[in-house]
Amino acid sequence: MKGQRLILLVEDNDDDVELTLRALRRNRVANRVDVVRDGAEALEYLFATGSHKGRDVRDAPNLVLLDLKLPKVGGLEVLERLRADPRTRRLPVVVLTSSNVESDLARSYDLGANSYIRKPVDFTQFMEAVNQLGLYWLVLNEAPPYVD
Amino acid sequence: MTLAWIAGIVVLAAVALLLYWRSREARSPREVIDAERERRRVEARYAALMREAKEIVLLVDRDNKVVEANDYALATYGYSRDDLVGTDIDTFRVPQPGVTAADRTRQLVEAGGHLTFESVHRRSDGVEFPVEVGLSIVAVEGEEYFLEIVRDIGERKAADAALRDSEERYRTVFENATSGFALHEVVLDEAGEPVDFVVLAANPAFETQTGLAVADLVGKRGLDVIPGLAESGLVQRFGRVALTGEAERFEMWASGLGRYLDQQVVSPRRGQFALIVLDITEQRSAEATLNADLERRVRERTDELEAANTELEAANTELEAFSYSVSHDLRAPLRALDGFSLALLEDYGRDLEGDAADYLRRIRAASQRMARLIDDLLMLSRMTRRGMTWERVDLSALARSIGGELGDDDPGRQVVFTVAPKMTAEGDAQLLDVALRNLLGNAWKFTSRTEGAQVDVGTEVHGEERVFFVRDNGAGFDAQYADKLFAPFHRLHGEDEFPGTGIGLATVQRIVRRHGGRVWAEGATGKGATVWFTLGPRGEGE
Repeated sequence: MKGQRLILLVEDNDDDVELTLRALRRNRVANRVDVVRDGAEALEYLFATGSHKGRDVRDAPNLVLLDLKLPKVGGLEVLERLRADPRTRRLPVVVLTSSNVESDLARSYDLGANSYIRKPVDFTQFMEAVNQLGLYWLVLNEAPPYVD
Repeated sequence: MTLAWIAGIVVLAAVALLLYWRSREARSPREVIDAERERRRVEARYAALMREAKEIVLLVDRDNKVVEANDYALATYGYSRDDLVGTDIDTFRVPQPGVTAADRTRQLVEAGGHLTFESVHRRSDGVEFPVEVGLSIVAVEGEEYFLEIVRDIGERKAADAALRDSEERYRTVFENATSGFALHEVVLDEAGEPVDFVVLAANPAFETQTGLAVADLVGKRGLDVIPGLAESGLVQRFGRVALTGEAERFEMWASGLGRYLDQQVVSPRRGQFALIVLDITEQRSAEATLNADLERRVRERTDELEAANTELEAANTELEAFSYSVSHDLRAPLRALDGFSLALLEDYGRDLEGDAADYLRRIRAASQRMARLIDDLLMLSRMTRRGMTWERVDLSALARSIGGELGDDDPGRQVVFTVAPKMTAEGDAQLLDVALRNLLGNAWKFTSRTEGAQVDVGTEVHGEERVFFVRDNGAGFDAQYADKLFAPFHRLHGEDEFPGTGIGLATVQRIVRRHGGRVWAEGATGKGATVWFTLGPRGEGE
């Protein structure tokens, strides 16, 4: 933790990555944002395997922003795997997606998502959403106890 | 017959007694007095017999003339004593074909002096009646007479005829019935258990229905003549009916006969049973064919339905995937268009010249509008595919709650909003919420430029139908386009005038139709609009 406010953004769409980073930069809530482009990489990052082998697992993000429609491993599966592992079970995960299909909502909460945000098309609203999201999860919210 | 005989013998005895006493005259005076007393007594007895006997008694001499007749004879033939005595006996006889009086006499002698036969007699009024005649030769004081005791057997004849007629009818039925009919006597073992039966009678149809030759059956043991009987268990079953009297009816495959038989078993008397048999093999096979045919058709239809279902499921899955993709993938580029346009405006606003900033704002507006279109389209599609959960829905409460939200969203607006109380209907609460939300949203939107805006939700009964309405006093519409209002994407107002996608009323129509109802609109330009809807027979409100 060390006072660092780290967000892991799991997002395959370049435009969305750029816009989300822009929104996060504007509100200055996070002081570091790591980006992974698919579900498989997200898992490697969080469990320090594969391309992220050697990463300090203790250097865990304070918040994961998770898209659902991802290449290789889908967002819902990523969530399921995170919740199944003691090391990431308590990690705050906010689903940030375009989908508002009822089944996605239900599945996400069933699998233990902490929150579900539908990305608005209107970027003004999008920035407002990201702003509140960051404030809430990184500043207001008490982080879960660290799991060894 | 017996009665006639007894009467005859009694009369004979009386006559004999009388003749005997007459032969014992001329005794002592004392004896004469006694004899006289005795004679009177005998005569009185004789008179009583002649008076009371309820059979015709005639004494006829050798010349066929009646010499004595009892009262019953007079009453029956309808003559006075004077007329009758001395009359030729043939007066009463109706000549019988082939039998002469001489024949009778000869027969009488041959029979040893007594003969009984049937004949027909005639009364004085000409009415004929059947009789049984007991004819005897009696000798009285050396003279031979015929003693005729005649009995009217009209009733017995009628009863016999009726019985014969009845028997005849039953026999005709038995012989001509199309059902096989056979009567049997059960054969019991020492323990009283039925072990076989004897065929007593069978009608011709029995042969047709079972294929067994009747001539080979009657008088025979069932086990000897009916193939497959021993294995069928029928001996015991038939025996039970014969012993308990409880009738049975059943259908069975008679393997020994190679037929399906419908058998009714009844017991006419204890120890016997009658079998009424119908060969239903053809009917059965026709039924079997029909059933097989039906089953095959059901199977075919089921297969077709399953195929159609699979196709539909595939189509639905495809549509689902399509919707998902639309919802997810089409929005991302729009977000980029909007987001980067805003980024340009924010970061380089000062460097933009002329209409550049306005163009960027137009790009943003168009992106957002398309996003709304996508959302509305997805909503429309979802309203069609969604399963329905029927329940009683409080439409008044629903309308009030939506109106409240609309008011909260736009606190600057002054809208007089009324909802009729206690409106309920059977329907899907979520679908009805979407429908009302669209209708009230429209009313709110189209009254946005109206002074003293008013929106009413209510209900009326039109004929037998419960009709709901949402009415506003807003911009209204040109009545000639009323039927186009419900077509998707069809709008009667410019986007700059009243924003919208043209999908709201199409969604309302889809929802109303799914409830089995109708929706229509009334209005005039500048005079407000009323949208009416019903919820069909099942959704019928209160």
